[in-house]
Amino acid sequence: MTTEQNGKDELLARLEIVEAMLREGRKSTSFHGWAFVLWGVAFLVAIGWMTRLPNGYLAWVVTMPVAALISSLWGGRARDCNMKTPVGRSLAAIWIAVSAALFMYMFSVGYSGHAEMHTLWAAMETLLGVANCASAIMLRWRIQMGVAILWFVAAAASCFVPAALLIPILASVTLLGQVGFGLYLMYLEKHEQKTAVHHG
Amino acid sequence: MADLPELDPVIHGKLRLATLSLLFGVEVAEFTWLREKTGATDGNLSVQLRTLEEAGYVVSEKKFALRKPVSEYKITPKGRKALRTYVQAMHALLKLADGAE
Repeated sequence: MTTEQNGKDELLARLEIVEAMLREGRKSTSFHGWAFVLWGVAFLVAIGWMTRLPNGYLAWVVTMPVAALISSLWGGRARDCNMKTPVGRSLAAIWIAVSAALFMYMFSVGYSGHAEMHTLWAAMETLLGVANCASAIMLRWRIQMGVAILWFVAAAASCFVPAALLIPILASVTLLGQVGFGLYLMYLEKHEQKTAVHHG
Repeated sequence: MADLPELDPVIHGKLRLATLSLLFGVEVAEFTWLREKTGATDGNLSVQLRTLEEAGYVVSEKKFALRKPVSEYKITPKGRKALRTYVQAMHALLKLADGAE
């Protein structure tokens, strides 16, 4: 092999180091598939309990704090605490703000006795659409934008459909937009880890 | 003959290059995270980080988390500029090498 070729290979190897390390730094912001699945399942449990089990009025009061507790315990374990990125912090801010708004709104409206089911579910779906939409714009991620549109369409539909269709709409979008999207993220995460090990 | 672009010797070391590239993609990183991602030993990484600090490419801060000392590192604007320039120089050299073939 010639000296020029050696030099070129060396340069290419260094460029590869730069690219691999930049990817590594940015990667840790993107995957929270488990959180989507967890909250999706929590929604489905709450919906199922509310509609089919006794003491349905307790469904959201019990399942949401339990999901929040699991989320904080699991999140603390899963989070890569040793580094921070501006994008990661911004995404966390969006989801924390939307979750806080959801808790406040749902509990206040639900227990004030002023709840109107069409607007209640529409507001919840809108907020989830907002979080997904903001995240999709920041990450320039079309698939998540698709999820956001799904929530927005569900929110608009919830204002018009008969009351009997509200829960099926919410359950379907939760299944697709939360659980399905979360599983897809988990698959991506696993795939990325395999690739990293392979190239490591 | 065209001037050959110079490669910054501070960044040219592989571990220093990897460390600076890692810091380029994050806001701040702990020593343990850098060690894990680069696969370097404590001693070697400390030495390379000190070189980057002395060049003004990185700043460090010592903190305490649960009473344990934690070192955090952050890339400086000078470090960002240096890495960009280094990558541009490498691309220019590759272009020259391709032209020479």
